[in-house]
Amino acid sequence: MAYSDKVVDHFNNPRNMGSFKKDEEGVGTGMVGAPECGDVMKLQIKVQNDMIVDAKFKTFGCGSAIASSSLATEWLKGKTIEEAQKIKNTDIVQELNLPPVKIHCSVLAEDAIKAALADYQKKADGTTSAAK
Amino acid sequence: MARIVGIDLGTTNSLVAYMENGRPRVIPGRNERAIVPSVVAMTDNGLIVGDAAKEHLTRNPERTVYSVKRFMGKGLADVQGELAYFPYSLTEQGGVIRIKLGEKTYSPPQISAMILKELKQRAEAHLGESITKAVITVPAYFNDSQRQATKDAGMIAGLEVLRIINEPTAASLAYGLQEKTQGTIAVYDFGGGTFDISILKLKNGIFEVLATNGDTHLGGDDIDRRIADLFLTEIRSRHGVDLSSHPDHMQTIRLEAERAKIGLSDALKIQVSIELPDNKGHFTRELTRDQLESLIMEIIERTLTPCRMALKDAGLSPDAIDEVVLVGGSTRMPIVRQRVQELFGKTPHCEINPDEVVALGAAVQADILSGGTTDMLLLDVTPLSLGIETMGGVMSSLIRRNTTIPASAKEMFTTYVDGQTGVDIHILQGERELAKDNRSLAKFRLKVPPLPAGVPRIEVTFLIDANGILSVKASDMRTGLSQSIEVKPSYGLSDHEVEQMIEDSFKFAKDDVNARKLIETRLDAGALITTTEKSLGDGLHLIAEEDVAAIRAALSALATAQEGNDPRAIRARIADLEQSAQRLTVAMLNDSLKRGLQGKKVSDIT
Amino acid sequence: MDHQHTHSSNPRELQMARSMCWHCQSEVSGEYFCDRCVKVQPVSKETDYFTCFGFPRRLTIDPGKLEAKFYELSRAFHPDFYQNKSETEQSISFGNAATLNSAYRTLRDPIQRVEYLLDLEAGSVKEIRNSPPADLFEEILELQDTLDEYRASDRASDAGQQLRTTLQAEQQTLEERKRDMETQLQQLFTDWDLLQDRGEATSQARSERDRLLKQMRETLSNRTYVKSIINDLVATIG
Repeated sequence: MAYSDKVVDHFNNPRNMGSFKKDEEGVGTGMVGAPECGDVMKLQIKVQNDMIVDAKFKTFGCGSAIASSSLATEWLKGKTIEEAQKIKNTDIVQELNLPPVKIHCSVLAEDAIKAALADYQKKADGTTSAAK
Repeated sequence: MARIVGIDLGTTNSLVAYMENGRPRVIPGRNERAIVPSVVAMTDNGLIVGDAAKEHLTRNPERTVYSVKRFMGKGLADVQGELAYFPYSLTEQGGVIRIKLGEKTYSPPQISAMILKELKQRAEAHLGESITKAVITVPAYFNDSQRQATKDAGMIAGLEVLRIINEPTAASLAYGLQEKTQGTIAVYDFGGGTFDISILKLKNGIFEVLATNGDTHLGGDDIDRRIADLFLTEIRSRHGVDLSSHPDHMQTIRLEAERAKIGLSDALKIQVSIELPDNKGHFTRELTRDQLESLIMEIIERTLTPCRMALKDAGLSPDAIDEVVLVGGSTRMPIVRQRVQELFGKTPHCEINPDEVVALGAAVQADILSGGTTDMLLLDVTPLSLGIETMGGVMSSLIRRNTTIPASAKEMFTTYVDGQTGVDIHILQGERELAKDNRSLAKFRLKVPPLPAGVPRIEVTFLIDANGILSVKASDMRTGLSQSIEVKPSYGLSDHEVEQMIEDSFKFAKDDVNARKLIETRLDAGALITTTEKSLGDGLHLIAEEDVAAIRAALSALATAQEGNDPRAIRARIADLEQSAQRLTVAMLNDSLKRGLQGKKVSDIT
Repeated sequence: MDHQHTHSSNPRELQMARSMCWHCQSEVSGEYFCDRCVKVQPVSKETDYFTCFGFPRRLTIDPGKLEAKFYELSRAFHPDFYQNKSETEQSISFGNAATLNSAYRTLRDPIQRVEYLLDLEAGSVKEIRNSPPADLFEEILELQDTLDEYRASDRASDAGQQLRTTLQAEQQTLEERKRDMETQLQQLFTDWDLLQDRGEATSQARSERDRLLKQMRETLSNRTYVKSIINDLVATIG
């Protein structure tokens, strides 16, 4: 099977590896796992004025899981919260041409995005209500 | 049901066996030997196989093929490292190795088919019936392409291969039948070109393989090479002659190395003598068993790693093994027995001739298939994981190694782009993480109806049958329609090519009427010799002494003629023997008629 | 066939199992061989692995009994014994033998067995998908950092040696945790079997059932995470 250079590149040189401090302002953390295969994914976003200015991830798992999270963080940067909500696992599958056996990796990435957004929202709501 | 024979198609030697009254027997040839050397030579009189072809190894090295099993199911790139060792020339066509013999090229299955034909004819002459069905053994660690190539060889030889069975498990069947073994056994099978280890559980007639491992490129050939390389180096330094560019001398050295190795299984030292070209005299040396053992220790050690891996996969420690069985000619070496004994901590079994045990087991399996033996059942495994290539060139396993066969796995496929009409699937076999490090079995394009992305749902079923051979089925989950998939093998002959080769094999036979006539005449002679000898044994007392002497003389004259290449001479001696034996035949007929009458009442006759 | 399982399976499934013999069209209900013409019948896609073996849907299985049944069914289905039969029968034998082999592989291993049971009972389990164990995940990701550090280090150096010692200690702790989880699973197996044996249809029994399934799912998932990091540890430090 032929893969685009971009995909192989995500696989070999994943972008945005690392992490932010959890309690840093504007940071949302999504922590998800795939109980079928034991993969663990932590995806973080840094938000300023409703805009995702940076994203980082740490993934323990197979190449597809790493490529999926790498791609997800690339896509997240520069998107608004609302736009980020629209990222679907099928977009990742299509971009990376993931085979059926690896689709759960893209699901994991989507779940991680959702969880990070929810965590940010929760923290933001908390701060707002505390400020009131 | 027609008789099914069991065939051990070995790297060095091949045998055919059949089941008679619940016992497997190997079928001897005219020379009383059951072993047919797996050698094919192209001579001026046509193709010859076996012992006669072996003589051509040194006389005619470029046109004499041996160890062809090493090339089954392979491409040229797979054997690049050892090309220098073979005097005949190899090329590649359509991913399959071709061997050049004179004007024509032959694929490894075609060469193997010639050996199979020889065995087939031998069985036909011995059993007096036409043989069209066979069980053929392969190394347990053979991959799909190698198994398929073996099946193709059978078809080209005019044999329907009812089952491909693993050599170590075949051996276990022979042992299980004869020794009534129970418990957990390890079969250590070290042959001419391949090494296998299989761990089985034997219980109430069920032979369940727990794990298997091996190396399809490790055998007696490698040991011979190691010894030959030593001789070659010494000849170079002592006599200043480089023989590596002399194919005929290389063969002499190889055969001398083999002879020394075999000799050292009994003797502690052996004299080696190799004639040098251009009247330079002889290279001589003494080789001791100690020297041999230190020379090949590394090769023996390489067999132990697969043993440990098989134990691990079976979830067993060495002391959980109740019996160890030795198979294959290389296990005759004392050092091999010693290392195996050390690993498993028990004395290995070798009661059944290690050269014959695989063929005997194949005959047992043949009998199971024909419905003769019903209390035994072999549950074998697939030796290698089967999977497909996924993102980044990674292999994703669908059927894990050591899964009991038949086995199946299902996988759902869909599309990523609207209107996409196909999905490419690359099937792999092996244990490595990256696709490129595993064996490519086949690539195919799954046809998909043009629909929006994600809508098509095609279920692909990967099946491994009891032969360890893969087939693929696909069905559209939306419509319920199944689609046939044409899988192009990466390293195999296409169906069309095999058909062509079957046709050719008949055509060549027709072209070469003389060769065919010779073979048939020899077969007739063999059959006549067998029956005359039997009659002579039974009816010795019925005829005069000078008649007996005449028959014996005619028998030996025919046997001599049969070794020759002239069909007319053989025919003449056949006629002579028939003539000499006529009195015996008549006497025996009268005798049996008389005895027949004695046992019956008068009313039965009239 | 064993009918002990019927109280836990739904009526639809039973109906699916009832069908006609492909050869003589007489009714066969779950049997592997037609009563009338003795032809082998394909194992229905609806038949779960427990039913295939004639076992109730229980998590504690006697390995000896399972093996004996596997051998018995292998003798019934294996393609070796269908060489002289029709093409249809050969193909049924192939399919049945492959299914049987999958079933045995799954039921033989306690972890695969419970995973399979959870799949069968999926209807209610999907909704009780547990929240991810964040602490465990943090631990795994941190450990992975240490592993990366070790991989990049000079193994012979003091720092490398020290990292190795740390990782070895971690491996031991994790393996202990894995064993604890397996003991916990054993207990859950027993509880599940007892509940099934009682066969009550009360709301209390139903909530107990859901609790057990959820706990099994959670323990299994955590075990998988721990196992995969242990594998990584073993592969790196040997």
